[in-house]
Amino acid sequence: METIWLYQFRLIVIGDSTVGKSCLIRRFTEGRFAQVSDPTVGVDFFSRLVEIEPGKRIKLQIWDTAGQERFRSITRAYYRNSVGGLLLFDITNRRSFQNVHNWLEEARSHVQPHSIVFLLVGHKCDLEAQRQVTQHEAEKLAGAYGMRYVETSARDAINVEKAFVDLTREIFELVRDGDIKIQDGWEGVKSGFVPNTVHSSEEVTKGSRQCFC
Amino acid sequence: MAEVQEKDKKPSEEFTDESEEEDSEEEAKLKYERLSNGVTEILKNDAASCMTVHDKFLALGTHFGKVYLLDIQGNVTQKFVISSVKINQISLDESGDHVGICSEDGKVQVFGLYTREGFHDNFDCPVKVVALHPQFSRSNCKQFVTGGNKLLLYERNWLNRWKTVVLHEGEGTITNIQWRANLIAWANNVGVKIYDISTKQRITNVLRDNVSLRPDMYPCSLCWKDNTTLIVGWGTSIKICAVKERNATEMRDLPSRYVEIVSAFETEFFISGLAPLVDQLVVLFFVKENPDQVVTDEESRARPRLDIIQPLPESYEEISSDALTVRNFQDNECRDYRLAHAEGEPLFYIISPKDIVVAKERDQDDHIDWLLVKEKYEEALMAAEISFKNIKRHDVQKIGMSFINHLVEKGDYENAARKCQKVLGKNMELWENEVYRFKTIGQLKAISQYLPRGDLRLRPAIYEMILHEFLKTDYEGFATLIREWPGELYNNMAIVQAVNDHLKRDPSNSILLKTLAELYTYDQRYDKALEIYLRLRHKDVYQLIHKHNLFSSIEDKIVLLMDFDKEKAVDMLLDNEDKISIDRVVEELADRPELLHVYLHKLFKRDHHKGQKYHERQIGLYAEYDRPNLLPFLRDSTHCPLEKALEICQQRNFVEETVFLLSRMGNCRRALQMIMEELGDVDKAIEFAKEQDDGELWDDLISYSIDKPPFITGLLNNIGTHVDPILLINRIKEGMEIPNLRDSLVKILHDYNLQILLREGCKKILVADSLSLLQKMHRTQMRGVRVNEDSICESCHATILPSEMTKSFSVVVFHCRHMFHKECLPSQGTIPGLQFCNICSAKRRGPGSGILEMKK
Repeated sequence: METIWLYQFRLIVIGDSTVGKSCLIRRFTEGRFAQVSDPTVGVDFFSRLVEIEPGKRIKLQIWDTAGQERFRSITRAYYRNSVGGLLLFDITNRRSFQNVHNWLEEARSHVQPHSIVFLLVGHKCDLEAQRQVTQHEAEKLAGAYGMRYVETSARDAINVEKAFVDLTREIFELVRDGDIKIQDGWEGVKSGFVPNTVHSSEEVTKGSRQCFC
Repeated sequence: MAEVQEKDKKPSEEFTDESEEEDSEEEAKLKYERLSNGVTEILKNDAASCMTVHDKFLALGTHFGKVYLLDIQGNVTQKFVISSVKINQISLDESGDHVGICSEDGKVQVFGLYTREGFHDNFDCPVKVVALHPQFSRSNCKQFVTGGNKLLLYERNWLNRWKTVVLHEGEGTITNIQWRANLIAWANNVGVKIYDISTKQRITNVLRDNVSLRPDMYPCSLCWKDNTTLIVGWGTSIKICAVKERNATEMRDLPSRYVEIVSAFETEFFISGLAPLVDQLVVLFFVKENPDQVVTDEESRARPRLDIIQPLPESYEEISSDALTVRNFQDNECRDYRLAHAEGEPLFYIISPKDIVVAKERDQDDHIDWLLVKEKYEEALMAAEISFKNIKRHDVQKIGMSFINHLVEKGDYENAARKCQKVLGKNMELWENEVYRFKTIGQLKAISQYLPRGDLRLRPAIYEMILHEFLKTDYEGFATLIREWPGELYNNMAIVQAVNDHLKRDPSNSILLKTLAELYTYDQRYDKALEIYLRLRHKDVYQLIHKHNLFSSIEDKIVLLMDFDKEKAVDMLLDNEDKISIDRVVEELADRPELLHVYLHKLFKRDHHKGQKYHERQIGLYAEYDRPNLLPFLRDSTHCPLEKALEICQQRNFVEETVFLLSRMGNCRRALQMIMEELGDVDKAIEFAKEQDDGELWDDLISYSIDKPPFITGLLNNIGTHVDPILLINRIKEGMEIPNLRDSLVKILHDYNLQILLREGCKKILVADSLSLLQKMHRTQMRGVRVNEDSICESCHATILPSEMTKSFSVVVFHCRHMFHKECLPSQGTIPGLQFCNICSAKRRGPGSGILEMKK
């Protein structure tokens, strides 16, 4: 059976509320930008296929989480099954940058025993005039954590594609090199070659599945 | 609004809480219990996300992706690890053998709970809802629908492969699906739609009202009341939709069914869940307090409410409303609550992330609980008595006991004691406890009249204790008790002793004495009782004597008895004549003639003959003590010697009696003389003369009256019809002055004239009558008499007509209708031509005096 994707990676997007997590994901999965949007409640997820090399398509399952403290307990359940994550802050909101550390700690403590590949994202880079976090200090922080840094804008569609693709490529390399292994009971990475229905006798017909882009 | 007061088994839990509103007077319709046991354990670390109720078990989904099967007490029977994230919906088919589960990470699993075989799939979007065909167990109904961003119908084909059909898409996430019979109702961001699987047609679209509310925060609640009635709750609006068959004439290309919204109204709060309860609705409300004020979300979230409402076409009526203190309610949003209900029983499960509460209709036990809390003991007791078979937790007696305690605390000892009778029944131990309690609070008197005295008996000491109590303070009450209680309840000797002790201090207390007499009576010491009664001159003595047949002991006390109540004594003596002879009584009373008279008079009244030998004596007694009754006695008695009586009456100059006796003895002239001379009463004299109707007496009367003008007047006025007044008038002396002579004469003449007129009138009537009768007879006799073949000769009894009519024959027919052959009649009598009917002339001469002769 031929699958249209090689791997499925589950990614999580975290960061303070109002930094623009949902908008970033919407821009990436739906290509749209909503001027107004309601705060996310709990967790939501979206998917999209990404072609990292010709013929090598990766399916991304992207989990949008609520930044509000109230939903933390729910959100935690989603860390464990994620292989990668976008750690977002708002470049016009210094406090969201300061909280990056807390988010990272929280994610790392909940992801045990698995590890998670993060990308630091400085969002809303179209609002240069209101910038409170310089690119330099962000890069410095990313370097300290051993992660890359990218500045994006969902409104102007700057670097949105790049942020996701870069992270995907990085994870793909780790998977390919065997640094990240596919494990039963962990849904961070799934192989497209393994049928994803457990009971083969009642397998789903996959014909109707198409790319969601 | 009712504050729910939970009686949780673990008091440490916070479910029961402060009541911020005062207790309402109306009883709640539902009662609430927290689902505990396994559920408590699960919710400690996890959170409930959804639950589905089957008749036999509950299926609980959690935020950490587990599905638990629970029994109705909340014990875990099975656990499935489905996902790592929130379970969105669990769907069970009607048999409860198959389950459909969907989760936030897009997993859908449909499998048999016992076979574990089934369908698994992952979607690329969260799947909020899944619904199995209600008859999923049947092989031809292997269908289910899932709702993610589109509504997918899965159907298993004959190759055992699952085939999908997109029923609908493009209007956002499907948030709710309810499948009932052939109808699938679902909700997306835009509205509610219904798909008819039998005709494969979509039949309606009910639009969302309040589009300003976020559909993911205020999700749509759907429930089927029956196979054709869907209830939609969304935000603050409820719509009741009836699926109806379209009239065939209007069909054209339209679906065969359509939906009519039969009721639509707004509610006060946000709807978190709906369930039908017969014709009413159970609604779970998410409540935000102070929605207009700027406060943080946490502060505004109030406790959810469970209301029972009666939907009306454009409004609703609130039947009951309870605010529920579920754990962590401050953390919950509208969408965190679910309301699940069992199809069969009226059980409603309120599911919130950290708490699951079951609402049940209140049963009789709960009703009694409530009444007890409200201190409506009377009603509680009544309710318990009416449904004593159905109550499990309560006990009529216990309720009764608490009622008594309540009354005692209130100080209403009288009512408490009264209740004892009803509540304690035949439980001797309880009775004794109660009596001791009343003793300690000094209210023995209150309970005294309710103590059992019938089949159930307490120990004599109890009764004695109460009697002593009364004896100390209340002789009257003591007497009442002694009268009311059967004598064998207590030790008679002991009480007698006690009474005697008291009498020593107060020897003439009549109440005590009387009671003592009663006590003696119970003890059958009648002589003592009698003695006291006589001493007290108490009326009960007669009853006592009568009841216990004490006649032998009263023989020498007759005078005493008579002394204080003649009437009663006499009645008693007469009633019991067989026991105390008349002679004996007369002998006893010989020294007291006035009493003797009373006795004999009564005796005579009852029977004129019984006391005949005392009649002679009675004449004297009557004359002495009771003159008015003397004459009646003389009239009625046949035994009294007249000479003796006459002697007594003459002695005493009792004229009337003497007159009566004289006339009785036949000495009418003397009697008349007495009337005239002694009484001077002409009317009476005339009356007397009339009575005797004796010419001589009249003569005497006239002779006597002739020189007494008033007498003459009286006579003239009255004797007219008895004696010829001429006799009187002739004898009136010349020159005598008689008052009103003229008037009297005129009256006599008048009377005479009247009599003449009367007689003439009578004569006229008689003549007229005779004449008319004569005419009538004459008419009758003039009529013909039928003589035919059936007529017979009364003499020879042969037919009167000869067989041959040609021969001449003669027949004699009389007016009496008897007929004879002429030959058969005897020869004519002395008077030629005059014949008599043979039959009638033998009997009488009346009819048939004429004859009718027929000759031919």
